[in-house]
Amino acid sequence: MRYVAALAVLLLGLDPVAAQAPRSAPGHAPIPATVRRVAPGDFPHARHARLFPTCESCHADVSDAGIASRFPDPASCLTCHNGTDAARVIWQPPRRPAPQGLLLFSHEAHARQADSTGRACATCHATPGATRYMDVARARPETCIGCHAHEAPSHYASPARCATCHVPLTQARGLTVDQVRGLPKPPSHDARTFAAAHVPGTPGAAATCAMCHSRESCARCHLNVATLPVASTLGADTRVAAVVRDTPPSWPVPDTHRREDFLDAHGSGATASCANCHARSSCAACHTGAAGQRVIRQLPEPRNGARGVQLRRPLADARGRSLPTAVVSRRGADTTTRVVRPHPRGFVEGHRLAAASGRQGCEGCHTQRFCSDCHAGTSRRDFHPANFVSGHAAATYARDRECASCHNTEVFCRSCHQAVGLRAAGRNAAVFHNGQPQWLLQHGRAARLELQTCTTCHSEATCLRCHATTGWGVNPHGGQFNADRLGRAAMSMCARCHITDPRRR
Amino acid sequence: MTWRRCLGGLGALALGALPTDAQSIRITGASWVQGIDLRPLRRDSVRLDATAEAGGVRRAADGTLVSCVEGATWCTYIAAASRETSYPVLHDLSVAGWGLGEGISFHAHGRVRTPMHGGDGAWPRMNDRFDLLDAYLEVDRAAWRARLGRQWSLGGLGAYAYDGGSAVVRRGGADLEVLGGRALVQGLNEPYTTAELGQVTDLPPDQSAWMLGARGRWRTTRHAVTATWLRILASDRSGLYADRAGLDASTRVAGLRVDGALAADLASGVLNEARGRVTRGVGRGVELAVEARRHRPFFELWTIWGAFAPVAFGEARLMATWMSSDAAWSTTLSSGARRYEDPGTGLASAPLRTDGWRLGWDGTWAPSDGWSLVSSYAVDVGVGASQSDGSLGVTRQLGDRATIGFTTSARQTIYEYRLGTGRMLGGFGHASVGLRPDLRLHVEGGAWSHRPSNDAPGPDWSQRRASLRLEWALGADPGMSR
Repeated sequence: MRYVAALAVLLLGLDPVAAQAPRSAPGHAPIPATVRRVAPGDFPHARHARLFPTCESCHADVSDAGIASRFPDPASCLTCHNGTDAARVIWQPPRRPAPQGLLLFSHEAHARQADSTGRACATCHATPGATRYMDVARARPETCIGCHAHEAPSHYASPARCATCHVPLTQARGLTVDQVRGLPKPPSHDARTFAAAHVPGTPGAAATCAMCHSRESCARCHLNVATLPVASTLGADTRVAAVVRDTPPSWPVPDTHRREDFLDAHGSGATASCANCHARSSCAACHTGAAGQRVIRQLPEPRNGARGVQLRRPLADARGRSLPTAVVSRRGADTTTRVVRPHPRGFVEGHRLAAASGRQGCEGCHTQRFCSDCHAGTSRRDFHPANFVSGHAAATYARDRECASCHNTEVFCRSCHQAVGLRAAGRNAAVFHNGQPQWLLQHGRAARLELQTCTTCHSEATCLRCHATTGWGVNPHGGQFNADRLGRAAMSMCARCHITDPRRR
Repeated sequence: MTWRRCLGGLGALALGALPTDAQSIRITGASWVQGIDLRPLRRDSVRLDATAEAGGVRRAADGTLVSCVEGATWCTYIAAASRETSYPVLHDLSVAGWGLGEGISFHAHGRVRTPMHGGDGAWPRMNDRFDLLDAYLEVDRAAWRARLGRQWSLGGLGAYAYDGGSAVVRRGGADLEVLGGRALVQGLNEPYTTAELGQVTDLPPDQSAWMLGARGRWRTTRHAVTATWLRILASDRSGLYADRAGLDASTRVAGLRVDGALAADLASGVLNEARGRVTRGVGRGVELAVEARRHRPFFELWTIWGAFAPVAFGEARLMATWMSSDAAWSTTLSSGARRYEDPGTGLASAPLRTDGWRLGWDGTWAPSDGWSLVSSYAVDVGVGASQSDGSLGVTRQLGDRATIGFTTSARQTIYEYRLGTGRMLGGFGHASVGLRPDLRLHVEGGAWSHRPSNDAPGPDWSQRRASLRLEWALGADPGMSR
């Protein structure tokens, strides 16, 4: 080092410009009497460019591991900055290592890495675009990536192997809470599908998460953090805990939940991943009794009062149908309440196929009363729209829904029709049927086409007048009629029209 | 009497169980008061010499169709009478209790009908003052479940109530249920010898009935199959009232969901229902469904209707639904065409329609949380009747507890047998508010104008309606009461 200082003195003495500038000679600015203090990081490298031919002039032992050996002796500055030849300057090298940040870097390992011009230090420390010697700056991440290519298009893009240059956050003890809060967010984290697919698949990927996250990051949303293998590898960090304390959890709806068949098999297809967002109370919003308990027991109990994604059944309109709003979220500190509509709009009208086959296990969520409430003839406007009565006859003919599922046509329909005067009563009623005399010739066809609608006004006696053996004996049986079979099953039915067993003829 | 003793003993056993913290009871009630306008039909007459035309059906001076008998002095006709308003009131009360032991619970649900003012006729079955819909004791364990009391058999054959017992044994994804007891009339929830049947039927069943049934179910994540058998036989074993079997299945394969249903009348040897539907999501929120169906109505054997050999119809349907990714928009298009089998009777010179078609659309738009607009339009042209109707409604959800909305509708009905061709236009508003977590009030009211478009007799459905419904609950709700 002494040789370097001596060389600097020699150079100052020889350099016509540099040697003249600080001197207090006639025509030159006077040398300031004050002492200027220079911070360790503010050393004006560019102004000293002509003094030092190489970086090693000052940073001779930069490749050594010790921090002190990377910087020159402050006394060497006084060789020039002695108040006589140049303004007196007090500069002290860093005495302690810089606060431990996220960077994993070794000067020792990089000391021999030279650029295309053969300059080793400038490879990383040259100011971008600089052409002058000693126009230096702190190394930037892009510079690192220039050599440490990780197949990522940018610093934060995937698949960056962060661990090449960075230490896990939990080891970066020098970062403050604010610095942790200010850590940049990679663009990948803004993707719509990120939340649903961010679980690292490899140890290397998990190490990448550890650059910015600790276990508390996972615990912000994951109710089952204690059982997550990845979370256990991250370690705990009080700074992250402080950051996430003020950040509400985020539970986006996975695409799988939007599939039309999700409801059918969400129980039997349930995996441990359900517990990422749901506690047992989520299931209780719909599931009752013993059904589904095997799956529900796999979910965690609410954590410190937090319930994760809490589900709630929707409000219903006056017709008892769920409002079409699919999801309403109300976010609390540790709970998001979502209104779920398990069945699509119109399901109630066509639920037979799903319910009868068992594709959707009704008993998982409904007690028997839920079914009987409607199938016994509901006491509220659940199924039919208001004023359905004005068009109910057309709906009956169309046979789109089986009226008999909930109404006994003998009693329900006929008693009402009788009350309002829609009762078959002799010939006066003939005007109901087109008011045409040929109705008598048409009624047989009409009856076989839509017999159930006939029974809503006509009782058996209307037909037996002509079709019983005690009447005119007109045979009403069609080609598909199997007298033997029906006779064996219910001879009492035959006896309503036949005095004797018709099968013996 | 024996089984009543048995039920009483089990009830006493359940109620006498040692109380625990997990014991609880949930009582829910609902009272529904309605005000309904109605114009019943009345029979009137005009003098024969005041009618025009000739024959059995003539026209009065005002154009009304009247029915005349040759030689009689008077012709008769039916017209809408003056307006009557009635106020049917329905009360529902249900009780669910549990915690009497592992999986032990009891359930009961009763309904009371009381006309507050006016006659009984404006609402069905108002003369039946009390219905017990459910009343059973249940023991539900992981591997089995047993019920005793008034309960229901629900499945592809419909809903049948009965007084008796049922047992379900579960093994993995399969379960088997057997049931039996006193049968109740389907859709009526009364014994077969009830006076309610006698009031409207000339030949009511003279025997009560027993019901036997079994159901097997197998289910995996992709497949589900259920087979059901149900027999209702007269209590003196003289014959059957019903003997039915059903098979329902569903599977998902190659991106398709296939649902199928069969229901057969074993006594008559005919197939009542055969239905298959294939559904596939084609991406971007679009789902397509194709359905084929064959339907022949089922009649129990204590009536004579099944002997009249009703014919079946076959129908093909196509449906498409779309929902936007944010669920704000959704729409459904549906269409169908059906054709009846040849009735094999009647004269070719007096034909009746034997086919039909339908087309429908409905859409929903939820521009923001809480707002929703629903509109629909449907046309159905077919045997016996044709109808087209459209509606437009808006509903606003006010916070967590209240909704308010209004719907307007227009409908046109055309009946092949002229039972009231006409147009109806009207609307109704509705509001619902949760006064407390366990107390909810629903109010709705509307008015419709019915304009018959021909001179055939029929009820005038012009009416005003209003209703108020109060729902309340007491006790904890772990789901045992819904």
